[in-house]
Amino acid sequence: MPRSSLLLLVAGLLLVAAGYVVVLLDTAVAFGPWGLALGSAAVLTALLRISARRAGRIPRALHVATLVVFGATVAGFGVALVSPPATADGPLLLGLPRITAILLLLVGLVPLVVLPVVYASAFERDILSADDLERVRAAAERARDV
Amino acid sequence: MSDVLAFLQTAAIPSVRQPVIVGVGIAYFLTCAAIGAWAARRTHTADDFYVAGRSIGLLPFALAAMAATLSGFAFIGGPGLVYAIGMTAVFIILPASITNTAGAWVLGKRMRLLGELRGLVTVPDAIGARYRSPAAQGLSAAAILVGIVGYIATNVLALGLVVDAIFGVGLTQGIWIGTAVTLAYSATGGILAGIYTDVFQGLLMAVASTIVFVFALDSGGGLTAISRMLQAVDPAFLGPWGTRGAMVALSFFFVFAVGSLGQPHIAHKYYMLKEARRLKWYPLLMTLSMLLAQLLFVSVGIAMKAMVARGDVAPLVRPDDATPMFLLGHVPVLVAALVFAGVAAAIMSTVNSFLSIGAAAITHDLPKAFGRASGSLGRGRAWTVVLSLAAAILAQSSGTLVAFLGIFGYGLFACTLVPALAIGLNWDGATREGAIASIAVGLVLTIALETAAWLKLLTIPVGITVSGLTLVTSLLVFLGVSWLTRERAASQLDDDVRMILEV
Repeated sequence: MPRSSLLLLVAGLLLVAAGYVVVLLDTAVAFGPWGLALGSAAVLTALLRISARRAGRIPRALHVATLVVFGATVAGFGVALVSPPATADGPLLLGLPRITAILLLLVGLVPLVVLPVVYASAFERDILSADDLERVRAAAERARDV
Repeated sequence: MSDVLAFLQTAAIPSVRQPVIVGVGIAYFLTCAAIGAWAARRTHTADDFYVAGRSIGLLPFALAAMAATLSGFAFIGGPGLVYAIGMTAVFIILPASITNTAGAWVLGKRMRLLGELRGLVTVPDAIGARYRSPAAQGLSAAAILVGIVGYIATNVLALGLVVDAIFGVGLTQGIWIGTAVTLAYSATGGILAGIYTDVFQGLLMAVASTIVFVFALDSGGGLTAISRMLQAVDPAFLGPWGTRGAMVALSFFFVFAVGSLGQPHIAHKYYMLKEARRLKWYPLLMTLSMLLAQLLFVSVGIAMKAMVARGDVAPLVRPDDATPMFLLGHVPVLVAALVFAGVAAAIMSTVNSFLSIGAAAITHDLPKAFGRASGSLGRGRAWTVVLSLAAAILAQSSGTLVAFLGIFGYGLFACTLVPALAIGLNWDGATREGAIASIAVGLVLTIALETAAWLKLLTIPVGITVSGLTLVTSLLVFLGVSWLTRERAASQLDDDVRMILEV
């Protein structure tokens, strides 16, 4: 696992844990949602990056995809956390309260489109090539012979 | 995970008994039985029974994964929760935007390849092979069994309630009718029957959900009119975090996003894909099918809330009445019939998956952990029957007990399997000691904290769930113990498993 992905995973988990702890201890409660928002995004991104590693590095397309998802998720949660509470006459966007729509677009729509498209487009080169599969099958064949 | 209590369908559903709904219900059950009979003739070995002979094509694979992912909660409890707490409930399904792909990305490729290389048939098999550890395999199988008991009983109870609502036969009869049909195809055709009934059930769920979504928006006067109405009466309802606030919403997001990578009934399905390279299109298909199947989850609760606010409908006695009341009053009866069949479908596909992995844990994983041979096809079928009957008896014994057992499931799977499986299959620095410690800590912490919360010996502040606490703890234990024992990591990896980790 690249060291940076491992550090991101640990940092994300510690942020989530800290978010829970401040709420449990009823101190600095305002940090709780921030801890969970940043921590969840970091943990998910780290898991994707750890799994994307091949030959000691993360392929470029997958690297960019994980950064986009991390950025969109943090931005979506961040906008919602810093916005004032919803009001009865707040503006709408796409038929929903504006901040809600922005959150759904960034945390929902962006990963929903980016991840499967990048996964499919990078599959042959960066995820599982015919050669990779052939190596695994040859190993399985050798194991059966033994 | 006390918040999950709201997810469990343990209260009666309003009666929907009408000739068309009863007719569609009967046709649905007969179709499931017919698929089971077809699959039974093609099930000859334990490999067929547990992993469908590794013969499933991409489309049935994606539809089956979608059907198994969604339980009856997506159609009854979920819309009810949206009706009750607005956008907060949407954070349960929002992680699907990432997890639909993350499943294949993090687990799919390596589980499928490891399955082919080693002839694996269960999730604990993968853990045992990864760490060369019968103890880790046995412990993860035990954790799965603990979670499964309540999960199956909860779903069987929900199935009984749905059958009772459709046919008006009473809860006890409903439980046994639902159990009999599910058992008929699960015990004879195993997971092969499960997969092809899942395909039928998944299509039914997606079609029914999409149609209801259109009716829901229409009945509320369109999304803008619905939003304006709800903003006027309760601005927080459609606010970004809903009525329960940011902490609850983000807790849901964390648990359902990361926890999705430890659900054994989904992870198990990767072994069944016929051709590993077809995984390429799985995230796109899964995303599309999940998107359609979850439209009802969001739209019905919001539409019903708007109609109540407008005075068109009396306030609901219970949030879980949202879907039945909407269907009976606002969609053609044939569509309502399809949705009720879809609810039964969602529950049955989940039960079938759990019966399969439960029987495999008993006949395959636990014997292997103790150095004994794996059980035969006959033993697999026999344990499927035993588990099913035990769940049915438990389901009618006590709704409170079933609810208590049911809340264990998702969180227990998450905290015991995510570290060892989702990280372990992708990180060569993970160690056997880390895996065993994280599974043990997850199992003990979940049982202790859930029991303490249930007995009111422990008060969990709003916004925190036991599942979230145990998940983050077990992940940190896994990483910490693996780091402390890091010098053993290389020697615990077989060459062929290392090759899979490097692919």
